Amino acid sequence: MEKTTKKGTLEFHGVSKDYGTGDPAVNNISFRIEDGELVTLLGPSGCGKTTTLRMIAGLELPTSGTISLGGKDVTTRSAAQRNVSLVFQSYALFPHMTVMENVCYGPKMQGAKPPEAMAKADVAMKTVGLTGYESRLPSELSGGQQQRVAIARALVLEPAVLLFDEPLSNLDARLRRRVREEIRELQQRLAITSVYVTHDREEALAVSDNIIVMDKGIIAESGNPSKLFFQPDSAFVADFLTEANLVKAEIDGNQVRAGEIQFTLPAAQIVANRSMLALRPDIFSLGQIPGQPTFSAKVKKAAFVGRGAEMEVDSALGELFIFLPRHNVIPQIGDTVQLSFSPESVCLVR
Amino acid sequence: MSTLTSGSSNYRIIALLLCAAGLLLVPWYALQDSIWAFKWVKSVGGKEFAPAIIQAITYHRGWLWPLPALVICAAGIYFFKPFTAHAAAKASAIVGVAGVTYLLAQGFMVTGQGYAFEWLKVLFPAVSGGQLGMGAGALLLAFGFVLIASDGIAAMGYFRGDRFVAASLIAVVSLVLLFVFFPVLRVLWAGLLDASGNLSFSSFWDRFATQKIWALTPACLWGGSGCGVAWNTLWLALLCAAGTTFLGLMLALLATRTNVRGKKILRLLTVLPIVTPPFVVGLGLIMLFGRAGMINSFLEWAFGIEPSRWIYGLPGVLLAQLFAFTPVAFLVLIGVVEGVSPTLEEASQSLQASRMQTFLTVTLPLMAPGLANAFLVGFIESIADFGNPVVLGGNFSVLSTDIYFAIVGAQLDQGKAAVLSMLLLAMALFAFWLQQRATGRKSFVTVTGKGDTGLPVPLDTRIRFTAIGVAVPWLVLTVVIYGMALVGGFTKVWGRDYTLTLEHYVKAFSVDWGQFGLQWTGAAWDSLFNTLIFASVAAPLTAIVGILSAYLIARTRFKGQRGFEFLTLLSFAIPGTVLGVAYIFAFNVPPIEITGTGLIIIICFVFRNLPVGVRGGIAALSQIDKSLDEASTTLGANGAKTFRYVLLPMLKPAIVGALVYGFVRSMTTVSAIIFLVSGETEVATTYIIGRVVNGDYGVSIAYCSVLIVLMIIVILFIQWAVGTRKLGRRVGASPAGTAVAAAG
Repeated sequence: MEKTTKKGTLEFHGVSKDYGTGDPAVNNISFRIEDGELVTLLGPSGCGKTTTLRMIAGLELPTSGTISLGGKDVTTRSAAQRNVSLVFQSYALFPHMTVMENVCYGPKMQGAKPPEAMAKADVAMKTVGLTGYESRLPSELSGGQQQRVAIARALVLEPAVLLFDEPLSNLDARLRRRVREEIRELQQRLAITSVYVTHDREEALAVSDNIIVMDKGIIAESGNPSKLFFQPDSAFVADFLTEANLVKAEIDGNQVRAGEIQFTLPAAQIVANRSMLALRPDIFSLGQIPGQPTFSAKVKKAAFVGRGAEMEVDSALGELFIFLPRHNVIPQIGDTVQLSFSPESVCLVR
Repeated sequence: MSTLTSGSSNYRIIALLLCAAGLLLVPWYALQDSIWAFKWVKSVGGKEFAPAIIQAITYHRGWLWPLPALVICAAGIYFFKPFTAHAAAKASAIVGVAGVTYLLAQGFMVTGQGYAFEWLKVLFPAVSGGQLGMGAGALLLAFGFVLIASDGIAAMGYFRGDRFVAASLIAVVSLVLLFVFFPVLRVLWAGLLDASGNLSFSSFWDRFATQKIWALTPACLWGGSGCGVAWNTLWLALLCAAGTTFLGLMLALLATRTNVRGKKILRLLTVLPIVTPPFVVGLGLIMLFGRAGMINSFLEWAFGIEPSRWIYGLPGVLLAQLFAFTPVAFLVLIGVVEGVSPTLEEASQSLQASRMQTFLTVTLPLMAPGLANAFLVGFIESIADFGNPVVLGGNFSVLSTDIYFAIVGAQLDQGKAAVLSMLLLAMALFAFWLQQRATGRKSFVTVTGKGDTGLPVPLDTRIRFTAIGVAVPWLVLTVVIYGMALVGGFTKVWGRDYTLTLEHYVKAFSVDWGQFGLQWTGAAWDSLFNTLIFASVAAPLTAIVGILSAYLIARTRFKGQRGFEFLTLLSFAIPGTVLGVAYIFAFNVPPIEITGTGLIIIICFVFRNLPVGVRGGIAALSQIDKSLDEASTTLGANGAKTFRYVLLPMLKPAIVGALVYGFVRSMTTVSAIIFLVSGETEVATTYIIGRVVNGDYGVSIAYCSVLIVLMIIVILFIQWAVGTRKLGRRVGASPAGTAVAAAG
């Protein structure tokens, strides 16, 4: 398969989907995905990310708003008429067809002659590295192999946009990282515009050029992974992506006062009219560190989780969730400990 | 939309060609001979044979003119494109719907004697003569209009823009309305008319509020006579439902919760009610307990006891129904018992409940909706049963037999038949409604995809022995009854002369090799061939309409979907006798005049058996993940292609199930078609009933045996064909097997 030269630019303008049951599933969202990008739709279940994906695919038509693909309005086109392919969560391989028949299905439906369809399918099978499995039934393949068939089947029509609906959720934990890397590698090699849905933040951070975080049918925030992780704008994103502790504070110029703690925020961190601090669990360290704000806290829960220790503490900042990397000595419940953090890692969120 | 232009124009051209053929080529009216005899080709201009255009021009049937006019409108919209795309879609939808509507309306308005209603004579010019029933031309034109309408409706954006879905839906809805809903309404209407055809509530009340229907005395409840026919029917049905539910539960527990040897035989029994004509059990009981039956003959011979007639009446009919319908309850309840999650029983045991306590407080309550379902199915089976009451009823009459005698008997009282049908229908629909509620509510059956690893708790000894105590005699008697039905055909005169003979078989099934080659001289051949032909035409039609309806219900979204589902399942609740009477009322006069033809029998078969195809299809579709359809759609296949290449191959077991069921049920049904057969279209069951009524048991029994053996061969053949077929890895529980049939 040659590198695609199609314009895979995808745009949503004020798109809503209302099933008529309470709040709309997707409420007036707009975004733009550049050609060749991999963008992840991230959010908790019920946030509208899957509905958004299905609207890109054409499996759902929006209640209002427009969707354009490569500059053309495709809002009312059905799934069969859009140059978009979807890799399903369940893979949705046709169980009564062999791998080859599955991959050939798209070209055949588009009216390709059998030899032509086979040739296209061969290329796709080679792309995903499954040559030699053509005559198997899907049920005779492992989960990872089934997924590759699903990807080959989606790639064979050289779609402008490739969609992934939680592609790793049916794989066991050890396979996930590998498949994740394969998907990313393939996507970059083909430079194919991709939209990826997941509720797993690590997965989202690992594969994406950009992430769109959704919450209750709207876009909470979007941006590249490190921006969203280190400099989130919204409290929801800070909480969802990093489990950050949200603490109310009074801000005067670059002076921050929260509880009895007062410290100076670096200029780069300051945003006007904000009064909420996001403190990631991993920015804390035990004991007093010179030049860093320090406070005492009472340990309520503590657990050793391998990569470090997790604690819940009561402090002047309120209840905090703390992660101490590479700590194997866990404080006792009921202990009072000194905690400090670096102001450079603190963000102001809305 | 632009990508579909070529497919779009093909579809439209096909629609217009169908319309043109219907109007210009093919005879508009129904012919005396079959259309396939092609006698009409030679005299295509004749009054009876002419297509619609010639009918309108030459024979002054001016009311036909709007039909070609509408077709020209459609062609104009397609070829001259006078409107924007959206307006054209709307116009096309309107033309199509108007076409179908007018086609039917003109048929009802101008009947055999001219205008059907007075106001038409005032508004329109007089017509000379009327018109005959609609024929092949009308059918083609109707189909063309359906395509035109669906093209427009889909282009307006309904059904996700899918013409296949739109066309299927319009076609199936029209068919069900025409062949289920309309006839039933026609019967209800007939009940409200007096002898001269005027609407008269008092004559309805006279027929309805009669002692013959409603009389009720304490004495009559236990087999005595004097009860009204409504009470007879109700009482019998309640007893039968309770009995079959209890027996079925015991058998189901035995089959699924014990290790009793030979329990596999029980499963075989579930096939019996499907392959047996409904009156076979009745015949077997007569041969055993009848006046000249084995028991009475023996008692008379050994002790000189006068033969008793107790079997003719409520006890006999009840006994026959218990034997005939318990396998159905068993089939329902096996699923229910297996659906109870063993984990819950283990939980109960771990909380120190004894086996009996577990059964009474956990298992039984969990099965309650299933038991209610089995009870109501038994009830519906019993009130719909015609074969057993007609064979064994004697003076004990029920609604279904009374309807029959009102139509066929010396009285020939259509009004009475209509009123009784109304009553029977009301009872059946009420039970059906209750059944839908019992099964439709969130059921307790706990089958999930997740592994349920618990072991069922062994049955309490008391229940176990009750089950065995019930099952063994039941089994023995079943075998004896069926055995007798098989052996009886080889004896000279049952009860008098047990000499072995082949004379009954010779009489029914002899063949001669004469000067004209092979001659089917046996008396039964004609009806057997008729049966086979009708059944083999009806079965694939049942499967097609059934699976298509199931697809529409399970896989598409449209307004009124619940209503559509109800409509397709409705004929399940309509007792065969009522449907038969309804067909006579509805299809004896133009516009659809098909009584006495094989067509009406085939149509009746299709719509009687439709619910089973629908249910089987829905069950099978619910096992196929929707993402498969969506995958196919995103790969560029439209609704029709997805249906053809993805769903159909996976629905094979359901299709085969619907085929087998449609075929076998068509061969065994009596109640609906006993009104519809004519001398030329007599079928096996009606032939046998005729013989039984004449007391000619020998031939009847021989014929029954042949039918049963024939059907077992058919079933085994199809099961073998399915069984050796590779169908992927899906769990393919035959959906048709779990669906349950109404009797009669």
